[in-house]
Amino acid sequence: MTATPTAPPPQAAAPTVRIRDLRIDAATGTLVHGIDLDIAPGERVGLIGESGSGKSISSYALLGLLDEQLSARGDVRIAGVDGNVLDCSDSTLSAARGRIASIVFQEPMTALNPLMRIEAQIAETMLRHRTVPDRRSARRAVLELLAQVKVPDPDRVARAFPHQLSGGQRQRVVIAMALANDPALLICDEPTTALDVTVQAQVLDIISDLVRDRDTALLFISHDLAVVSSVADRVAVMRHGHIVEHGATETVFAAPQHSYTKALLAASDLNAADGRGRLVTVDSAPDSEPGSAPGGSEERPSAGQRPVVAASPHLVLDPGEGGSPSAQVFNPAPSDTVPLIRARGLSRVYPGSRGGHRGEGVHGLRAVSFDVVEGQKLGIVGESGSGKSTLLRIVAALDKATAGGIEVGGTDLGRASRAELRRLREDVAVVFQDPMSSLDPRMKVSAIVSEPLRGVGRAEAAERTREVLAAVGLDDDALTRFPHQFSGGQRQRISIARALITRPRILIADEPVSALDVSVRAQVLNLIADLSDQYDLTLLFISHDLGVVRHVCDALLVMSSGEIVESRGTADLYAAPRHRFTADLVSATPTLKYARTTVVTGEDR
Amino acid sequence: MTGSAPPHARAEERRPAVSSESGATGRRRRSWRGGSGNLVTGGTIVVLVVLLALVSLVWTPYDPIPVNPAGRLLGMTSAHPLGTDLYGRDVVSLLMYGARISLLVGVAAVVIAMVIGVPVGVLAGMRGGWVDQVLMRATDVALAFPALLLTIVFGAVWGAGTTTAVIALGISAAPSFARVSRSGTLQIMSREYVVAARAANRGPFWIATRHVLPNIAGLVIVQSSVAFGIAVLAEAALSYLGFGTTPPTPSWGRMLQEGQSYLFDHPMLVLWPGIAIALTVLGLNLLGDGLRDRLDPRAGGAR
Amino acid sequence: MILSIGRRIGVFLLTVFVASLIIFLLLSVVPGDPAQVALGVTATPEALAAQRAAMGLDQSLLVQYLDWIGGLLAGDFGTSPVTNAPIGAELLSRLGITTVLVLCGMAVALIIAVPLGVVAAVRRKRPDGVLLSALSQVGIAVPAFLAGLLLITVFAVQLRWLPAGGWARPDEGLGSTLAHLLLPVVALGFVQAAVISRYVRSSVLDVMQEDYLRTARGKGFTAPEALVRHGLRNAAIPVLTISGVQLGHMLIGAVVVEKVFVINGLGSMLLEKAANRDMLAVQGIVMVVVTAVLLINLVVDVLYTVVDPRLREASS
Repeated sequence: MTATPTAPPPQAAAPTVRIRDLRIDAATGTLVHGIDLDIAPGERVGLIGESGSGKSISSYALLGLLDEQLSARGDVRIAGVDGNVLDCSDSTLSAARGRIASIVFQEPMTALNPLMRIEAQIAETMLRHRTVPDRRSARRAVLELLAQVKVPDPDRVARAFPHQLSGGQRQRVVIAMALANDPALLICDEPTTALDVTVQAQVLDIISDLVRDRDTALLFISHDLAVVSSVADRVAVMRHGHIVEHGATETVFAAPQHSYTKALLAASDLNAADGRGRLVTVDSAPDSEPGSAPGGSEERPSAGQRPVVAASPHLVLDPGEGGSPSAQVFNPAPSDTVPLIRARGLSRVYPGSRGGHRGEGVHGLRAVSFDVVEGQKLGIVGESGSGKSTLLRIVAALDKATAGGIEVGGTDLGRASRAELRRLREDVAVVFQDPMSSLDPRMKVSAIVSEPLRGVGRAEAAERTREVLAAVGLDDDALTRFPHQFSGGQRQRISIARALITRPRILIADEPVSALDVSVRAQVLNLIADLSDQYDLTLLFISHDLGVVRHVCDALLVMSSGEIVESRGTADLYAAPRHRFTADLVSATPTLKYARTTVVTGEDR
Repeated sequence: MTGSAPPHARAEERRPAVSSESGATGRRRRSWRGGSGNLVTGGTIVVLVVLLALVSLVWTPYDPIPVNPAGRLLGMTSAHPLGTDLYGRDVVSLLMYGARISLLVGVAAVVIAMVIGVPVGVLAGMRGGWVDQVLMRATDVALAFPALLLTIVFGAVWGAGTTTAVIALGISAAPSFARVSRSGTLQIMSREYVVAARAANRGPFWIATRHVLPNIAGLVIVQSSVAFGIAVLAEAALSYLGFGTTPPTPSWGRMLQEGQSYLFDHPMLVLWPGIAIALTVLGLNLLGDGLRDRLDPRAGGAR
Repeated sequence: MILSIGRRIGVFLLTVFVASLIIFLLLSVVPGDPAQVALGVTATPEALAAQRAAMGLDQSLLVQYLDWIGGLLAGDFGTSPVTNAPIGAELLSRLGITTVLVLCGMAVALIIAVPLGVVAAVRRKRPDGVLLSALSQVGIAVPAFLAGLLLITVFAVQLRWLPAGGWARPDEGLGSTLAHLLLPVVALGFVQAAVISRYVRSSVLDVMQEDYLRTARGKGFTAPEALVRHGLRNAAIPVLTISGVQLGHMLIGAVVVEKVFVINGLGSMLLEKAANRDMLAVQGIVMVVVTAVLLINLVVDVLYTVVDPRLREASS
């Protein structure tokens, strides 16, 4: 095969898992091209790869959970299972699944049977393999397991149905289930990807602790290098169905040999920037050899170079923890400046009709006040339910506040006329999170990008569409194609082009890179940073990921439970978060361990 | 026909809106061959029936209307490949003419159902709130009137006949179109491209015509083929009961009813129209399944 | 949960009320004079006026509606102006016959459809699964009256095992009742089975894609075990819906089977009354059927909340 993996490190004892030449074929072609991997008892191995690299299906093959359409060949041995796992019948393997080897899947929201109580679902694992004598002892064991995965109230959780639990709690339940029979091997397939950062940190701790206590071998699959570096002793990097690099975590991260690993590491490190102050990107060429050196290989030069982090000079520090948060104006504009966006006591209460809490409604926003000055690049950071999306909708005039007021460019959104709203919507553009859902699959790119243009002639519209597509780095032949013909990163470029076509003053980016692969993420971030300079945009960048906003923004608002808890210059906030929640967020954000200090930031512009 | 016109009520809401998205994962892919096979088989049958009906507009082997007592109940002969009925009419000609009626009823009923149901569903889905509540309660009430019941009542009030049957069948199929359109609309409205259109200052009419309708078209087409089959079955049942197409216009259902008394001696008189009905409905259902496999993103990755 | 059931009952009553208004209005706009229908074309103007007064037709629509609905609530469906017989008694006996027919038909349908649909889903790539799926497709397309006629041809005419039609009340001998019931129930049930099995199949296919089924296999269940333990209850929800809808529609849908087997059920009564333009009777029958359909919906809704814990809180 094209890539020769470095030899697996010598193992003393018989490995828990021994994979030789595992190939997985689909009708459309080969997805995994013969991988080799050993996992020793108690060893923690990380399997890194981007979407489509074959990392997840490889792990499913170990347990016979591959989809019918896929077929696996090769030799896979698991200690305690007779013969080649790939040749075993479903009933033979089912005796091993959940007993000798367990798996935790990515999506906790759908991994549990919605009609069964948690207790029954966990107990079932033990009753199935007769590791407990009866239901009474199963119940005791369930409560003990729930305590071990640190759910707040094991008694209540045991009696609950899945929909009554949060995502983090559900994932803990799934982990409890997987560890119920003390398996020799635990496979975790992106177990924290769907979770908030702070929850992710907790769940990672739980997995690491439990695995260490029980001396369970761990196969941890993730696209997130920082996450893997925090749990794995040894990593294997997969790309296009090959293991391209393999070794001790420290070695691989500190001195990557393969160019893809190097590029991936560089792109993952959002602290790193090249000489021009831009994020390092992976060359996303489709062939398996990303030959070129990591760096801004695909970006057009930006209009103006800018420092990565620079606190806006007119930022006034907030007055600390003293006053009541609702009375406080965050990120206030200097007194001699008129802010572009001015929000005072902004609240949004959703009527608590269905599934509501005590009929009093759900607070999306609780009396927040803040300013945004023209040209500022403001990051809005918070976890799910923090109110950041509600805020976005109100600023973009997609929703109305239930109390308080907001002015954008001097227009009071609560009282704006239709004409004013139209003008305002040309000034405010939004880039959405999900490149799959933000483009109408039945429209051509030309129609998608020009949709915001109104009252503009055909020829001019076509001209501007071409112009703006060129600005985001897409060719003219994109015009007549449909969204599904583009990759995630390209789709996000189309989305950005649509946002810019009205030449807005304010760009709201709603988690624009959270659905993208690491390698593409840096490119899109660079593009947004460049374009906001080029187009003199005021940027509101919404993200759950502190690492991401850190690069693009010069000031941050941190939100939690519908309130702004802190606002500071980016560098300050990082260095010394004041609010407890910010501190949690900073410390929970996974960082690349072992990584070399990458190229310096562009102070020398 | 069991009269059972399954209005595919709430079950339909579990289906996702048809909006092809890339990235259909391997896990969600169903057999491509199956879907395509259904599509081809169903499509072929439907096209044949349509051709038969079209030809009957200009030519049938014999005039299917006048009775010919001299030549009644002839078996299969070279002059009458499928024989003649109890009035001496040529069965082939009757079947061809009957295809016309069945298709006419089916098309008209589906069009009525679509014209009522789709706007109601889209409106309910887009507006939400009390508009949605009221419209959906209304469809609940409408769904409580089974198709056959409504047709018989309409027949009692305004006189039985093809027109009455078409209107009644159309009205009773409308609620399922409304539900399907509504659930599709809800899915589409949750997509970010709709939010993007709103942020781009596009109004509800633009969103409905540019984003919602094109993206729920697949669902509506699938529902149409299902409703078409139901209407054909219902028309046959009504004609069999004497509440559908009035004599002397030939209709498959009435051919069955007339042949019933000769079941023992001339079973083919029942079988031929029976086969015609079954084949047509089968074709429509296969077509619907094939389209669903084709258009449902969960069922297959193809667009 | 109690609260949510209470709310559903409220909605049910409201819907029944709205439906009754529609039914009443629909049937009072009938062209032609019911008094004329009752007395025939030879009636004198005086006799017609007297008849109208007797039938309450000289009252306002509102009073007429209140009279009718008040009667219904008291169990009085009125007296047919055509036959001069009370409508309620006949309706009740006909409803009884149809209910037996429909419930037995539905039981047969479910007994056939559930295993058939599950197998067709699980073995969808194998020849037998494809065959089962194709059979159900054909089954849906076959009109029930054709199925009935074929059954009569084979079992009554050719083999002479069972009666070709008619109805025997249980007090005339249980064996005879069953013999008379068998063919119509099979005719009704087979076609329903085809419809429902399609839903079972597609709903099992949906469930087979669910993550929790994969979780169950990860716990150590084989694919079939996982499906039985975790899948079927989830798959039952849409099947429950369609069964409820079909059951309601069969009340009238059974009419074709009744006609084939010469059974005097509710559908046949509707046909007769509609042909005779006995609108009061039609009105009563429609009201009974619509109420029954809505009642079935209510029961299905309540069953949902029993099956699915998510719905218990959603509306309480």
